[in-house]
Amino acid sequence: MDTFSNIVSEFKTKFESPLNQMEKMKESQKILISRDIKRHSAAIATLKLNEDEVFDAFTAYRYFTLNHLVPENYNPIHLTKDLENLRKLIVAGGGKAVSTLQAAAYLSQQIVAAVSAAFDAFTILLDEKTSGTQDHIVRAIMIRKKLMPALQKISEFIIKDSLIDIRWGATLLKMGYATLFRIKNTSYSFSNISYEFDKFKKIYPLDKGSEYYWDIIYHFVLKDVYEKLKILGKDIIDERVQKLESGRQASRGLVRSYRRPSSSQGVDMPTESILYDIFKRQGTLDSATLSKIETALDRTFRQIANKKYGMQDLSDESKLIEIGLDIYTKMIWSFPILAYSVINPVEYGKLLDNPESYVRANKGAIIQATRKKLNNLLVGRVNTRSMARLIAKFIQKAYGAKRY
Amino acid sequence: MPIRSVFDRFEEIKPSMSEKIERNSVSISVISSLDESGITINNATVMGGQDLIKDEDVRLEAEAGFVQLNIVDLFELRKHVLHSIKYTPEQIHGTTDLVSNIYQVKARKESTYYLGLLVTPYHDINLTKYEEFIDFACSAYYGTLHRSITQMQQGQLTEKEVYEQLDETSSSIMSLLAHLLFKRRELAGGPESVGVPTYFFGLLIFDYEIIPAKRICMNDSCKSVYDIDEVNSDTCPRCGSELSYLPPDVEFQRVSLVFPKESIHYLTTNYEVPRDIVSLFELSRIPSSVMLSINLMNQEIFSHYIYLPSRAVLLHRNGKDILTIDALSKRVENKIRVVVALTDSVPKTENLIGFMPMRTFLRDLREGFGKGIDIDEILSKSIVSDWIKTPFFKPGDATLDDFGSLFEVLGIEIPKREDSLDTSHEEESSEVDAEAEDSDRVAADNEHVEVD
Repeated sequence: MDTFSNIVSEFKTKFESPLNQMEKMKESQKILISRDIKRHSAAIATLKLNEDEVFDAFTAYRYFTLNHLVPENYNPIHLTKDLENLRKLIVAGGGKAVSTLQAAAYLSQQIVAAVSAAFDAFTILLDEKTSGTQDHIVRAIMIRKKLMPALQKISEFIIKDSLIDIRWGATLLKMGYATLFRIKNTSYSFSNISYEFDKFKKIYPLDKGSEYYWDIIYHFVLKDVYEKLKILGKDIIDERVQKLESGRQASRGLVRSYRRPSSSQGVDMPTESILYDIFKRQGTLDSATLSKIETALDRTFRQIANKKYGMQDLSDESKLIEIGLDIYTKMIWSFPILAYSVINPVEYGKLLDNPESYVRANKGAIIQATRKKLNNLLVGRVNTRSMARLIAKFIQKAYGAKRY
Repeated sequence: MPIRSVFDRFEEIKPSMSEKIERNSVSISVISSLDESGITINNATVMGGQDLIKDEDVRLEAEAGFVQLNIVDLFELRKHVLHSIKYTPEQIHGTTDLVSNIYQVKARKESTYYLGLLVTPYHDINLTKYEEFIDFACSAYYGTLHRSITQMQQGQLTEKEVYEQLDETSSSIMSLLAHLLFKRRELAGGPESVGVPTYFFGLLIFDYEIIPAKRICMNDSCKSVYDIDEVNSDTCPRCGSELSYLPPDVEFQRVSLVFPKESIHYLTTNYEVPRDIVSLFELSRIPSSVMLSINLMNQEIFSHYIYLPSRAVLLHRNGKDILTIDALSKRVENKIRVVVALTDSVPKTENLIGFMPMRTFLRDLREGFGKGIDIDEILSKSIVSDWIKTPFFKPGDATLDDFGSLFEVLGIEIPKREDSLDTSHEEESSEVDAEAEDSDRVAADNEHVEVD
């Protein structure tokens, strides 16, 4: 799983200003690009492009292959055709004509959006299948949460003022899945963007409109991919389900080797450095730091929920409270002053006199008090974010106590 | 074995409350679409509610009831279009532990109309989020419909395949809705946002009389009618034929209008006669055709309740403006008093109370109702203390047909009638678009309403 998230985050951050990068490349790798052009001169002659356009297209080819946006064996002539296609689509969609290099920059962003969506949607599949959701619902969630927004981004937002043919975006989504399958060594037929786009044009009669996003993804993109994705994720899903099952059995006393399950097993205490700074050194807790703590806690909650229950968006109150209890008590053992936010006010004096010894002597009571506090203060909808906010409030309160 | 016995009590699987609620919740979608080629497709799906609908035949019967609804003209509102309504139940007979609320939203994409109904004991469904989802569902359904029909015209699909693909789209979206509603609870709670700032321009105080449910003999020659508590069996004591339920209803007895002087201009320019204001609430009540179809799902349960709107959002036909209705009801024996607060985004310039103080007012009103304080006393101590309150009028009263006579009754000078604000508003609308966008953003921050 980690490889997937790494790939996605790398994809998202790496291509922030593709145009600049390609322009630099155009200068620095002139010789290599010219050599590529020479090698394909016969095929280029059939394309009716001027020299500059060809040079730009081959620069883009170098950029795309070096950054793995297209497979290494992708044909440069195909990419040149893809870029020409996109340039035409931009104009047809009501946008201004753009240079080949600019089109390449747009295409790179579109590919990044499509590939990230394909990977993110796969994560949803793993999460949902672990919790036993039925296939048709999993498919619907994947589309609504990840694939539809990506198609919308590709068709409406990446290229300003131009509505790109939805079949182009759908083709790129297919390409996103081709990338995923390629990484996992699963066979999936996808030759090149322009070819697949032409194929799409024959089977899907409509080109523009947000009302077709669901339809084109549900009936034309995901249909032949979904079963393959399930096979691909089977091992991970099985492993997670087994973990959940053994946890369940253990809690029912069916397994003798019962181990107290700690929610935060394997996850480090979040925000340790910030807490160290504000409680052990002279750091201040301003609103920016507080929101940093909140975000970090939210992430930790999600990580733990994912590890333990196989789903990130945990909304089960009792499970969240268990996780919260684990996290906060762990914090208290390291930074005893944090107990200030949960204990009975009559005990404040004792705690402030000597936090370390107080906490050492009252571990059990503190756990009970924290659980009670969490139970009492959580109202309304409980999710990882609201839990994180609550714990951040605790930290804020304890910080207030430290100042006196 | 000794270890197991300790944990035995965990082994008894009792349905949790959320499971119980889920099994008592029904999600209904009614779609009506007219394609350019002249093909009309009506589709109704009743999903869920295993504990409510005990028989698959009953489900089919209910679906057949819903499919006949003319959802295009379901509400006879003239200047407004229904956006979303929440109906809360008032129990008239019997006792049950799970009482269902009804949420109703309507969406439209070109010539496809989508009526979403949610009958569920959950009282915190967020209408804004539900409406968003139904908008998406309507749009997705329209997409599949339009694409598959285009393909059918090109000879790529048969009619049967068109229907299959439509079914696939609608059922997958409906399952997603059920999943988000009950498993993830994503459409629940959170602030309700109406997008634009609205102003509190008037109150309506209704008195209704409850007409209790009856049981009626289905035999044409007998036709005996019984009180619901009078018979315990499902057969007529006289002729032995099957007995059916006549659901309870309310009868409109009288109404009083309460409004500030500042809104007189808005009222007289936007409404032809005072009755139009009264009908805003009256027409938002659940249409009997819908209620009958809901009743078909489980007559025993739904014949115990009457449903009145507690919150409704209506859209003006002329643009982006919205009108909201918030209602509170109090029942005393066989009478129900409903206080309806009306807010509108049209009177942008008038010096009216905003939406949030209106919510505070309603909260005070609810508290007052709870303590049994008289409505006049509550009003006199609230932010609407200086508003004008008319006497109560019967539904047929001629005063409701003319602003002139209404103001005469109140002893107020008749304001000069000006051109309708509607038209001037339409002209302005393009100019204020940019402003409106700004105010949208502000509204998103300010106009939040916690769901009750």
